[in-house]
Amino acid sequence: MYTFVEQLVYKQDNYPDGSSITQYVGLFTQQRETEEEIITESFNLEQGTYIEVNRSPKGA
Amino acid sequence: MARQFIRPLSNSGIFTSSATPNAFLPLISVTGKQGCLHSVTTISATPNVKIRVTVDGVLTYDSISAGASQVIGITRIQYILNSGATHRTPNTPFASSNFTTTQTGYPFTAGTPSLAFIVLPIPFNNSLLIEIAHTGTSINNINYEYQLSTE
Repeated sequence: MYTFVEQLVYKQDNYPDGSSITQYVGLFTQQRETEEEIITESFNLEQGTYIEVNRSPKGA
Repeated sequence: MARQFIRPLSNSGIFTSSATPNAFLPLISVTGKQGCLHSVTTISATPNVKIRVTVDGVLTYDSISAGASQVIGITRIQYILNSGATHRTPNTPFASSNFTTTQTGYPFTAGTPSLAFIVLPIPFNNSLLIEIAHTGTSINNINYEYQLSTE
């Protein structure tokens, strides 16, 4: 059983002084197993840390 | 020595979400920095859009668009009349029917339709949070634009 999920993706820049700026980047949709746990993921790219948040079932 | 806000940060695009209606989601969040907010505006064909701006932990702007294609947000007066050879023609987002939203000052937290005009940028000492939401029940596209500067 699969369903579409949406991922709001943010770019997070962390600075040495502890400050940070988090910007909305865009939305990506993906087909995943319905039973898959809803989680928050992050992954590092050259320009900063990208965080997927608010992952939730989009439709059956 | 006075701090200088030399890091400009502007962005524009389409915020797309099918999230729960009226659920606020962050558009940009700045923490641990000083800076100034110059403008943030949104427009959407459908549905209505909500914007919330929190400066240093205090809600200072809360509005919802009155209907389709209504500009809401906070903008400097200078940004409205800066196109055309004579600098007297309103920028497209503020022209004609898009510019019928009630105008107000700043701060504004009534949660009713309003576009806030400011003359000078809005300073923040430690944090800035801009959130948007929509009232629709399906996937929605919200055009947004913001300009700010940080230390």
